[in-house]
Amino acid sequence: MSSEFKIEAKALNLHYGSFHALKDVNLQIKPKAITAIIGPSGCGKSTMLRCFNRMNELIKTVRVSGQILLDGENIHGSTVELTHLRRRVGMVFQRPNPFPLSVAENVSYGLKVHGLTNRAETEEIVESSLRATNLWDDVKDKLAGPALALSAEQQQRLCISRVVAVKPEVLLMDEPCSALDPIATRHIEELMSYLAEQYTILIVTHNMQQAARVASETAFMLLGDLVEFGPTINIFEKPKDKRTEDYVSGHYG
Amino acid sequence: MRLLSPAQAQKVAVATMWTLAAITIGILVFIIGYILVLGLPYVTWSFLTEAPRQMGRSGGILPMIVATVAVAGLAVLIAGPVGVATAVYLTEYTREGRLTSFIRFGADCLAGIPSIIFGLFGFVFFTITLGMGLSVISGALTLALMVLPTIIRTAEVAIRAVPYSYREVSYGLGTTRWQMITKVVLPSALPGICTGVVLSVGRSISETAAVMLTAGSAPRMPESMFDSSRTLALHFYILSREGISMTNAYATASVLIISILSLNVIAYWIMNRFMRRVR
Repeated sequence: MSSEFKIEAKALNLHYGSFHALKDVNLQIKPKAITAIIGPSGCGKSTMLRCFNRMNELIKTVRVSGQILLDGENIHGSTVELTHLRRRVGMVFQRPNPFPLSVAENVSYGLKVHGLTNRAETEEIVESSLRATNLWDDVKDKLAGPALALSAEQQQRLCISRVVAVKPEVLLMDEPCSALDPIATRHIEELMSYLAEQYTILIVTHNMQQAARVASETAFMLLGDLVEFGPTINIFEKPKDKRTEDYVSGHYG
Repeated sequence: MRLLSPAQAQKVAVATMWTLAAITIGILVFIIGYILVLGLPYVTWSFLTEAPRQMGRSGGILPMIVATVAVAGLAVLIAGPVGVATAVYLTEYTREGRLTSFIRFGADCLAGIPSIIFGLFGFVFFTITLGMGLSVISGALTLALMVLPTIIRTAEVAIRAVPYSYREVSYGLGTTRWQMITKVVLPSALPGICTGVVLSVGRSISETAAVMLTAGSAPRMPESMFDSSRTLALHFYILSREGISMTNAYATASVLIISILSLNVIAYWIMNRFMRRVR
């Protein structure tokens, strides 16, 4: 089954206990492009992102209904293996969070867990993953050194390398720059644009300029509703919904 | 009116803390020093490598060293995996509820029970009911029960201290819970788990009452796990309690203290090395 969209959410509803966090959300994500989800804190944008790799299931009180299709296939289907889904749909978190291991061990973690034991092959993937995030030149002499000794930006690049190493198709990024300074943020944004040539990227951000800079499509969420979704330029320059207009022009609240 | 200005209060507080800390360390140094001064001159190579003669009046303590290593080592080998597995279960596999609080309550109760009660239980259960007799294995099992709560609680604290983000990342990379536990959680918690294990080895080595009732007090070389034996702490107790030889009692105590101290130093050193690799 193929589809023009990489990911489709259809009538997606999510409850935390009695709290209705996502309300009938429909969203179509184009392949090899960056889609941004923006909105104020608590609007459900991170929850939305975590639906795509079923990360919300770590919380027991969560109930999900509706469909999410990845390449046309329902990710809640009974034949879908969660570990396989999460390899295809990788996630980068808000704070750089390398394991307290060496630089190389961080990148090879996913490979080892998934059974790659060939050393030469592992080293090759470590190198290519670090090159993919432009980190290789900075760390090639300290691959055995502790990952936590790197700068915040380098750590975040390392975390992206760690995900890239398991060869995902989709990258979910949950405010990946919010713990970084403006220059590092700019660097990570450039990296995202570069990675979008190969990966389908979804980014959650509370930084509207960031969405405007990197995303080709943008979704605006408010209180669990997907208010408006379309080409980024339309969302920012000619929003259809009054609520979107208020938010992107800074009048929200 | 304030009695003291904040700056004065600060000075008084610092002086008080400093004095109390100095007293604590002073007492510790005095006790250890006292024993070492009295005992160390008699700790010779032959004392460490010979069997006791005349019930310990002369000769050495080699069988007791072997018995101590066997009983304490076996106890921790048994309690370690059980304790860590319990801690993993409590932290990773269950949600907080009646069962977890019951297990935790049970562990805390066990930790508070005097060791002689463990000894009595071990004597009745392992020695008599299970027919293990007064033996290394009876003693080790009894001590394992005794140190289990310490290992469970320290391992639990160490595992809980592993940031949630590590788990999230691991799941995000498509690992199973078990892979996440063995590859991320346990390695990160290792220093803390080791602390609990070292504490337990120390407690096992220095335990007297419980081993007397279960491992026996025969001052001979244990040749198998089912032989009775006499540990260092018990040897010291018998030498001094029965007035056999105070010099040999102090010498035994010196060996005991030095081994516990070096155990702690070695563990600290290993953990430091381990931490340097990751930080």
